[in-house]
Amino acid sequence: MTIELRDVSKQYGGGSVAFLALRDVNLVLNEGDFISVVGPSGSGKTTLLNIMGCLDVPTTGTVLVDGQPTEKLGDFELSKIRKEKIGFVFQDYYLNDSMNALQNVMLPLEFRGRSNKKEVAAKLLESVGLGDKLHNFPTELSGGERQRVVIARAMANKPKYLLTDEPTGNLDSVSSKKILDLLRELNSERDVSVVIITHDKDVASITKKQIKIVDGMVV
Amino acid sequence: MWWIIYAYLKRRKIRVFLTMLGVAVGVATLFTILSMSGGIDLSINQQMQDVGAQIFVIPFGHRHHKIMGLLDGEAVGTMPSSVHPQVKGVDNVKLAVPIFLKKAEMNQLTVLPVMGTTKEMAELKQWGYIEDFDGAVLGSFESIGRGILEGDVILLESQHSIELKVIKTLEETGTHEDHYVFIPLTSAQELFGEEGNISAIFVTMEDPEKAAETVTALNQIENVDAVYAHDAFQEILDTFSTTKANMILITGIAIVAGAFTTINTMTMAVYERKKDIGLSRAVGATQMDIFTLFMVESILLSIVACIIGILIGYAFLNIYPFIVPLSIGGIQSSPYYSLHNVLLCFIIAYGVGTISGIYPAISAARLAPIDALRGL
Ligand SMILES: Nc1ncnc2c1ncn2[C@@H]1O[C@H](COP(=O)(O)OP(=O)(O)OP(=O)(O)O)[C@@H](O)[C@H]1O
Ligand SMILES: [Mg+2]
Repeated sequence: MTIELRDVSKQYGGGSVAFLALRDVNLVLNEGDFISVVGPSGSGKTTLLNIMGCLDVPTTGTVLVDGQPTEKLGDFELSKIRKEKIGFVFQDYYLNDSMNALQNVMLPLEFRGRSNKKEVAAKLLESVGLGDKLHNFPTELSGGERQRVVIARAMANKPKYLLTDEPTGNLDSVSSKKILDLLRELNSERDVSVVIITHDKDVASITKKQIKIVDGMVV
Repeated sequence: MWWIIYAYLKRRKIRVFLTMLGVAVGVATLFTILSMSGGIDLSINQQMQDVGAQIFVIPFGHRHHKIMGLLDGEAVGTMPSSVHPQVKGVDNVKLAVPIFLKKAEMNQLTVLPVMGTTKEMAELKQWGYIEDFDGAVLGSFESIGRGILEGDVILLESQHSIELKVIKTLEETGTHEDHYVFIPLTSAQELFGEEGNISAIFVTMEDPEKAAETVTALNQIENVDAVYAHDAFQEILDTFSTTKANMILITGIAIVAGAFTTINTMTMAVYERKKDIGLSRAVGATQMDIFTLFMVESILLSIVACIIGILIGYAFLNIYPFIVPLSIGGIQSSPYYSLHNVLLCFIIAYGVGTISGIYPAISAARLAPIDALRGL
């Protein structure tokens, strides 16, 4: 059970504005991995994460999810991979403002076609310590709380791969620790492969493995 | 899926309401016109049956105008009574009932159509047996509505005034004859100062199959015009259906305007929800899921708007007669509500929802997940 990147390059734009955000990246995310990705701003970390999660496609190279090459897959199959195998935590920890915390967590369950969405979502929010904020809208939550909702949402469909982009950015050390403990627990107890993109050396130091990216290249 | 749509609608109540109002106004107009014209169609048909005459013999000239006058309770023009025996003598004529029809004041209270006629009218209209037609026969509205009973005396005033005993009151027919008073022909001629004149002759035939020949024969009589009642009513119905078609066309424009409001709202929704769409795609929504969400939302808006529109239309029809009475060619009518019309409104609303939703839904579904997430 792996996500494997083979000679992946990603070019944004074309002609004079073309920009190579990733260059020949080779990388394997194994089952149970706990990896941090560090690198300067603009080095291609978010790009890498999007490609690993089948949200974006490489310009050249191949992404294999559980051994299956993805370049020829259609929308339906790619969506299926995202919904069944991958959980995202985006850099801006975006939540749907029209929905309360509970509904935000229910969203992935809806597209998965689950029946007892409310119970499952409520349990997930309880597990991140937000059992009393189920009906708060994003604007009624603190930054740290929003981030925990995002993690609960990412976990809703029990993904094997949890791809997180700056999950502790903008948080104080206490909230930050809570989030990291949560990720570590998911990794050790539920065997979820976790990727954490971070600027923070302390955060990087708790992971089992570290990857450094500079100018789109893994070094 | 429904809860997702509901969450969005709930957050933008005012805009959702205003959007729906656009479609609702169109539907309300359509429903009102359909129900009104349904009612009018119905009462024209009802009237046609209740007049009882198969052929109208009227003074020559301005046929349409004169037929409308007859239906409106105020006949136009007169002809001498002497044509009556001639009409009676024509082949295939069963009953030939002369009438004099004009409006007069009753009991210094109300102005109503007064029809002077002969005893044969009782046979034509199937009122039941009347021994001597020597008094007034009152329509149900004029008797029940005004508390006038058999045996009472009424006062009629026009050129002259006459007093008549009420010899019979009629059952409700639902036509304008409920507002009529029938009196002997000679009394009417006296009342209106028109001795020796009549407004029309109502004719029935032995063999209705021979209508064409009979009408031709009647037209041989000088200075009269014989009109087959069926054709006359058909003509009214035809004139009316043209009016109806024009009104529905105008309604169509209102509905198209409503559709544009919906397209506009849905397109804006796609734009505003770009990040949400990207997020949904990231957690596994397929293009089809996104397409469906927007389509269903658009159709739902139109359907709810349709319900609101029908309610507005219904409310309007219930207060409208107090503003402008529903009448065409003197024929009173009340709106006719049919399931058929309700269904038609829903089908149109469904169509509006589908058409309005298609472009926004496709553009939402086609957004690349990553671009949508960036809000591009
Ligand atoms: N859609 C795009 N079009 C053009 N260039 C882009 C696009 N997205 C990203 N880039 C460029 O690609 C490079 C890598 O971007 P990426 O978001 O992966 O960086 P990052 O490592 O996540 O940075 P940060 O730590 O600031 O989030 C950047 O230089 C960025 O300007
Ligand atoms: Mg980034």
